[in-house]
Amino acid sequence: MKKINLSLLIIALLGIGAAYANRPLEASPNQLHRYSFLSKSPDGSKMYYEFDITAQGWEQGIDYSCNSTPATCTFLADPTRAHIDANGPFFWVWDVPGSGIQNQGVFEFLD
Amino acid sequence: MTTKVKGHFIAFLNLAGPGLLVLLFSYAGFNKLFALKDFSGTLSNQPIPHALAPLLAAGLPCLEILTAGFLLFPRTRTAGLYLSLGLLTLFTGYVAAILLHFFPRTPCNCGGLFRTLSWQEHFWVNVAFLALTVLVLRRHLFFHL
Repeated sequence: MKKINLSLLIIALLGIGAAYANRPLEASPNQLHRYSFLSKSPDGSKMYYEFDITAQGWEQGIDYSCNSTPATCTFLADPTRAHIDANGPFFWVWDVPGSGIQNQGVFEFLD
Repeated sequence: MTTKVKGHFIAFLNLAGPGLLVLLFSYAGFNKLFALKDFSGTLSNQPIPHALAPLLAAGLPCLEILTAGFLLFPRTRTAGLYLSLGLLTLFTGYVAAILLHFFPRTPCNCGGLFRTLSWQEHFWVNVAFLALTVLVLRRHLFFHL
């Protein structure tokens, strides 16, 4: 077998270096936003939301509340990973950290 | 094309052609591999069957890295060039199908090679690399370069 082409090997290493430098970074907790939960898709793979609570600057107990029914009220997610389809904006469930899901009731506005 | 310009073009093709393809596939393959979870999520947002997403998430980066690897060795370069031709034809066809609205919705272009490019820009980048592969493969088969 003929020897490896050294210049091409250097180019490949450059490509690997560039790929590492440009890899998408994971969102840190302070980059996550809180969203009001709306519904899940029938197959359970999408979490639809109605409001980006963080972007609106709303605070729980002042602007909104979660009533006592045990259900998903809000959840945390990285805003750059939001998608939209015919049913509205959503996140894939695997992009939503389980620890950020608030199962304390149904989202409701406070006047 | 004048003889001088043609000579420069052929010299460029011989030197930079395989290099650009190695750079493309090593970058594309490892970029996906370094953020496999992210790439997996992006594939789930593409208009492809959901069951295919995990398979493609693992298979595509491996194929791209294999292509780059094959291009490095003179004995496996032909295989690498054919793999490059196949992958780029698939990618270009997929982007063309999106642009021609063959799918019910336009997916986000966040999983592409260059995340900032639009689908249209992606298409032309793919066409350029596809043309480069055809030219390099032609020279490789006929002149063993």
